[in-house]
Amino acid sequence: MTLSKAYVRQVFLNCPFDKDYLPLYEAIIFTVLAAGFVIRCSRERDDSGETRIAKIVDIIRRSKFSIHDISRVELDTTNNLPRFNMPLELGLFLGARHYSGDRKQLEKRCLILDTEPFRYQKFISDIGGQDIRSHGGDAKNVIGEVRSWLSSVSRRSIPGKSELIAIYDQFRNDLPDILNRLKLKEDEMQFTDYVNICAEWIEAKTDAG
Amino acid sequence: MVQVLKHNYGKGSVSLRDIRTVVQSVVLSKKHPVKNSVSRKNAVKKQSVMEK
Repeated sequence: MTLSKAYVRQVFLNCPFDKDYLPLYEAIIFTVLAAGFVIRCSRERDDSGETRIAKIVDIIRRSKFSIHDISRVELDTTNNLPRFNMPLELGLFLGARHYSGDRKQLEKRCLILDTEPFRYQKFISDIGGQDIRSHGGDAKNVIGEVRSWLSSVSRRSIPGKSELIAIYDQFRNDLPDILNRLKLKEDEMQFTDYVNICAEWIEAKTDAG
Repeated sequence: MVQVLKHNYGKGSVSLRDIRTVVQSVVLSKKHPVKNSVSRKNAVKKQSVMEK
């Protein structure tokens, strides 16, 4: 099966979807779009006939780039067990480079994010040698890290960190008004809604000059 | 800003057309005061030049 030309501009996002992570999740999505890439995520389609893992494998195959946040290593308060989905999906992405036989898959690049620098060495040391950055749980830091990494691996011209943060601040200021007019509460927004709002806002802002 | 690449993700809870209309309206509503003030300034400039 041939990959679409869009492959080189698709970024798979593998991160926590909980409320605490929401500011970083939304900042990453906005940054990827504002940098001229397409964001892909397991939340983008809700097809009950497709298993979650099949959906993720398909998105990974179609994405040259990926961002993995492995910061959720704490035990779940309900089950007292850790969440393994993020490391599993990171493993799938790293494996896809080597087992596909397709030259394009060998070009895959990923960014691994954690809260603190070098903490990963205590729980997933095998990923040493990858692009691993820390964000300290701060949305502005994550914008800078994602922007810097995308610019480096794609060699594309992308607005600077300060400019992206300023643009994102403007977007956050407009978002309550947009949601109010759409009669949509922030916690009701689906992945597709948020991405479409971001993309339309960036385009409208660019057109407005 | 870089040109945004759009992808068809399928259906969300709000139609893309509604999102586009609302977003353009919000962005333009915040743009207009700046545009108006610039054109007002230009108009004042032109008027003062003509008066000279």
